[in-house]
Amino acid sequence: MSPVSIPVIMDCDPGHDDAIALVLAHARPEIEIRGVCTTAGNQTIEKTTLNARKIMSFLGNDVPVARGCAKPLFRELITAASVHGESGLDGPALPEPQWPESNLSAYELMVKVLEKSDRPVTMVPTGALTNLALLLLTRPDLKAKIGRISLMGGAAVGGNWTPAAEFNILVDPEAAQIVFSSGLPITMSGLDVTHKAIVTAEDIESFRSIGKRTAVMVAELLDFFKKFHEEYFAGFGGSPLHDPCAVAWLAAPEIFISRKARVDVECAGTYTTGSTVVSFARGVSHGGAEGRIPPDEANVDVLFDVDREAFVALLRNALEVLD
Amino acid sequence: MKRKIIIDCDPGIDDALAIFMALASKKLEVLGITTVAGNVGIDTVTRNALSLVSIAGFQIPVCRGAAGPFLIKRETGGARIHGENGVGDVLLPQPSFDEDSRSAADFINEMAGKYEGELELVVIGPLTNIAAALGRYPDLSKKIKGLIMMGGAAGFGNVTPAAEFNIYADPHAAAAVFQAGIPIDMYGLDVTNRALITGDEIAALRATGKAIPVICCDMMKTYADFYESVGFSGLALHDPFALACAVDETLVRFKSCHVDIETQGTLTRGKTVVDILGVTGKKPNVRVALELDRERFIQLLSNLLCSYE
Repeated sequence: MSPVSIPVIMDCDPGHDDAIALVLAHARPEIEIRGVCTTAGNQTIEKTTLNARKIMSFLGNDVPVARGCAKPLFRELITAASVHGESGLDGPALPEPQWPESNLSAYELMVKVLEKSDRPVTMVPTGALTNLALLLLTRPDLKAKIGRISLMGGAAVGGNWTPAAEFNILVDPEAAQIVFSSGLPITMSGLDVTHKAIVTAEDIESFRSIGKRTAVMVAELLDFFKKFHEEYFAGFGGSPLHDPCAVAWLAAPEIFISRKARVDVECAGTYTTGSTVVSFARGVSHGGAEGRIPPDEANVDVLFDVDREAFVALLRNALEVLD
Repeated sequence: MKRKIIIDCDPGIDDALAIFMALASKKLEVLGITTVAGNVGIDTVTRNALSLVSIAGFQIPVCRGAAGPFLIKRETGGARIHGENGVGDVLLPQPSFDEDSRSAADFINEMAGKYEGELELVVIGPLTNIAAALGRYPDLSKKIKGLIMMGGAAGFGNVTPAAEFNIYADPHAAAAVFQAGIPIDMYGLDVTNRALITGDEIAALRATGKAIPVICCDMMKTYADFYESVGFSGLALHDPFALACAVDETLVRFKSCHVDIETQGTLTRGKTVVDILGVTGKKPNVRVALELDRERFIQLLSNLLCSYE
């Protein structure tokens, strides 16, 4: 472990892109996974928890995997079986996990890791923000232990589950608003950047050709993920790797472009619930919108662009170093 | 054949330019102008419309419309952009004729009956009058050929991060209009924020020394101060751009999408929710303009404004 590594808690709902985010976080020397929490979203909590355990076992990483909330704070759960299949991780035949689930809940694991850590921990949520919102509401003292939140979710423009909302935020918009208004530094990998973090069919073949077992497994995950995107989002020319962006930004922030903004979540719209409403700080201009808010009201670094080639290279390198 | 249009507007500096352009175009027959409170109040916009038509040397019906939105309070921030009198505090001469006695809604319905299947509405203010007319005359929606509308955005808003002014000013009216089944061409901020006129282009208009272009340049001074304050490299000519596209549709590229209007959101009221990726599965109801040819737009604007003696 490199002495400057960033301790992180992954909070995810694997999910193909969540699984690849776990692979990337496990592979990168700058990142030290202290715990994996699960959340319901892409599939039910039973399935996402099993999937997270399978992936961590596959990677040979015995870090605790702890089960999170089974449903959003105030709403019924919606899932994304059309994207991720019935198991939530359809595609590769993954062996059963070698280690049991943690006897702590996701909430308890977060508390334990944060209390024990002598360095600020980065939270990396790549699913709905339910677990983190509960933690921030009930243990505000632990905010001091959180250095930053690097999350996948939202969009300054557009959505993927509704025209105005991205899936992770839509699943639990109230939780998202609690997180965004927490006062903690946040990096938001929303659709603005993740729709540019595309892996093409060619990239998938280049991963497979590495030949190692993790590389082949990731290629098989991407084979399945690709089917959905070819059917519904053919214009992308590949699959957007949403969740790995939140990890890649930690490992290589220099390949991303971000803008400072105030972000709040619409929780009461007829057509817009789950929309992340992005106001830029003065002096910032993006996409025809001019910054209007005082810079000290900005609460989020919103990612807008990524060097796609460098992003794919980062993944490829990760797959080359793993078994 | 000329396109038969009614301009529904709230002049407004950019509305004023659009009116001048429309009256000059040989491709358009302006049957009348209906006014709506928006950029400034209804008395002011109605008087401005009369004065502008008079200056242009025309006499067509100018019909007064709604003094405010259906269900919400009227937005009154427009003077910051358009001046207290709505036209950049330029003193316009007294109108040479009086406003028409018909209401905006009645006039629209009457023209739609007279020119059934031909009438197009160029709507460059809040949609209050159109919703009122549709509500009052249930058959009207079938008689109107289409709406050419400046408003909304697939991307960022201007009055709030999520909403553009014309829709925000009366979201319930917009919702009614978007649900009416009338074909809508939407010229939102996605294109109009890029329909910029530069300082050099304004100087070139002024240098013609002609009366109408010079008045337009005088009005644009106030407008320029606002756009400079928000960091634009020119003035966004929202309404003139929509009007220009009524003259020459090849100035833009459209995408047909389903669009809903958010009327309830706490942070997103007045947002045009544009289903760009087709995730709702709902049938497209709007052609959303997404790309434009700015240089040809400025050329057309300049040609039309300079065609006045």
